[in-house]
Amino acid sequence: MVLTVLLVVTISFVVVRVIPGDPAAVIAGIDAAPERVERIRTRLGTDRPIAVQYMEWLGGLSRGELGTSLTRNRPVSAMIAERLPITATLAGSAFVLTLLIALPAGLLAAIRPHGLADRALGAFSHAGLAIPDFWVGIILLLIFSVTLRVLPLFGATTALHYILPAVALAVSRAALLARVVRASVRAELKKRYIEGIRARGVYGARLLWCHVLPNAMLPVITVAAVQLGYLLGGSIVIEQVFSMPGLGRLILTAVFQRDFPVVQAGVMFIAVCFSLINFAADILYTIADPRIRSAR
Amino acid sequence: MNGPALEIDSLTLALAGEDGSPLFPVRSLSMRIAPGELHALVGESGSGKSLTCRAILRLGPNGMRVRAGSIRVGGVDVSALSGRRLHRFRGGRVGVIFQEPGAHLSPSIRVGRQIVEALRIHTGCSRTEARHKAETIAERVGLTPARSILRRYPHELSGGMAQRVAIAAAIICSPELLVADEPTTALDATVQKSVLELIDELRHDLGLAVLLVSHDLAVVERYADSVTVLYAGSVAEQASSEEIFTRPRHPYTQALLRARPQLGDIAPVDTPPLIIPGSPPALNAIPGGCPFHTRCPAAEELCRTVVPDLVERGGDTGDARVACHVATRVAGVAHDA
Ligand SMILES: Nc1ncnc2c1ncn2[C@@H]1O[C@H](COP(=O)(O)OP(=O)(O)OP(=O)(O)O)[C@@H](O)[C@H]1O
Ligand SMILES: [Mg+2]
Repeated sequence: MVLTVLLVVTISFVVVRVIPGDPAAVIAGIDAAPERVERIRTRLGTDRPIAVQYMEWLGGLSRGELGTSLTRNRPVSAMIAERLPITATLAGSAFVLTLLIALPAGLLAAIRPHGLADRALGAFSHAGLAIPDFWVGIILLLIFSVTLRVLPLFGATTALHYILPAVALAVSRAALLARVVRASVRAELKKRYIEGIRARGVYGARLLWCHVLPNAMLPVITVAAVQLGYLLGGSIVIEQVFSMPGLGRLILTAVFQRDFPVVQAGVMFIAVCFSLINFAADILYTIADPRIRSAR
Repeated sequence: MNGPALEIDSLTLALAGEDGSPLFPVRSLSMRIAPGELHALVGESGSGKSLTCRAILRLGPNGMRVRAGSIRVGGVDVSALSGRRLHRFRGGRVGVIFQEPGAHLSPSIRVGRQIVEALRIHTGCSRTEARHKAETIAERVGLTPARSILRRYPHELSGGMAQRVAIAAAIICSPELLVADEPTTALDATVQKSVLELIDELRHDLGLAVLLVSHDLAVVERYADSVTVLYAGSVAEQASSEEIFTRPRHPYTQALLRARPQLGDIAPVDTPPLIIPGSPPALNAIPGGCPFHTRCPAAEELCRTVVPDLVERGGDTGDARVACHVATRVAGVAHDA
């Protein structure tokens, strides 16, 4: 896990420095004299060889320091700490909403293939997958904030601000996840043991919740984990649409300004999130399926 | 209880064929099983044994209908059940075990919970009471040490143990009928014997009626009280086990008995057992007249055109019936003489 994270940050370290663009030039402005740019470059330390910068950065990392923003002259850790609650709240609520939509919808659709619920889910997931989440967000904004004026337009200051972006994010993710749930439950319902359980008089909701769903969870956990990982990395476009100062926008701005330390810290944060979530998913696998547990 | 545990009366099952025309995999099947009786259902592959079992539980494959006749378990008409009462009937009044026990247990749930699940949902008994009952019944079916086995998952059990778990789950609600569809085919010989011994014990001790589907005639001879021989969905012969094995009347029954490996056979294991020439007809091509006439050594003109009725054949013990023109005439001649 540590190895994965290290690999990812190393690659990102190299990539941000190799792509054209110079933070010193960004800070100095377009018309700045070359000597001024050179001076800034020396001050930032970006004139030294990549290897030296890398070792220095790793050294800082080992002391728990993420460095200082090149453009804003503030500790990167403080900048992330400031943005994280916003992204985490948005990601968390969007994820919970995704599960709340996808699990019942997928189950209902699976019970009666080609039934009403199944066709409704088909339409929903087609639409949800075809329409990008930011577009859903814009439509929601137009309806609830502009026309009806029941929800705030921009920002992240109150809980109400989170409703629309969370819904926008959840719709697209639930569109995919509900399909996974449906397919997995369908496959499970076709298995022989279902007949054995039904022969014992188990039926309806109990059959689904106690027997089918736990056995159908593995693919659902896999997909949901990836989705949560992406959400925690900050949804750049949605944050942009709703003017929420989250992690996604921080990283985006940093990339434009070639603010290397911020980009690196952001990428590292995302990598760590993914690793932790995968780790959690592995644990969930073994809870959901005892066969995996004893195979270890 | 006095009446039969299972009473099937002129049952005809219908399935929709590929072209939409109806197929009748089981035709005019009647049978009665008294409490404590073990009745065997035998016949070649595809003769409709499993469909009969499924019809009793109303767990038929999609599209299967009872076209005519009735099935009663403990006097209750199965086809009249619906909703909650149907679910309570399954697992409550009928227990069922299948060929592959492991394949019929939920993989992610401890076997203890699966054994008592029917009890919990049908009688609403408490958790502690259920656990207590699970241990009692686990010991009864030979799952010892019960406590540790009940905490296992199905994949941690051997085939024989899994089948014992399935039996425990099937009888936990004290049903009057146990339907066992080839319960030991997937097990090896010694385990097979112990599972059959268990079923035999249970029906004696609990007065459980058992419908046993089996391919193994040695098993049938050893354990069954009475036998129904099914050919292509209709009854060829039905009688006490003794009648069937000592005085088989139907040419199909006779052929089945001849085809089984004899005790003391010294034939090398790799020679195939004697089989009946030809193969059973497909569902959509069951011949007119006696369904067996295409393979029957004794077939006559009458057999090709007229379906033989299932008639009393005059057995020495209890009622015995056979559906064969030739056998009936011979028996009739014998009576006249
Ligand atoms: N779901 C189904 N749809 C259509 N036909 C079926 C279905 N299930 C069984 N059949 C047909 O019904 C007939 C009887 O099947 P059944 O499973 O009862 O046979 P069986 O006597 O149990 O055979 P075996 O000894 O192989 O288990 C067979 O011809 C089979 O092909
Ligand atoms: Mg069968």
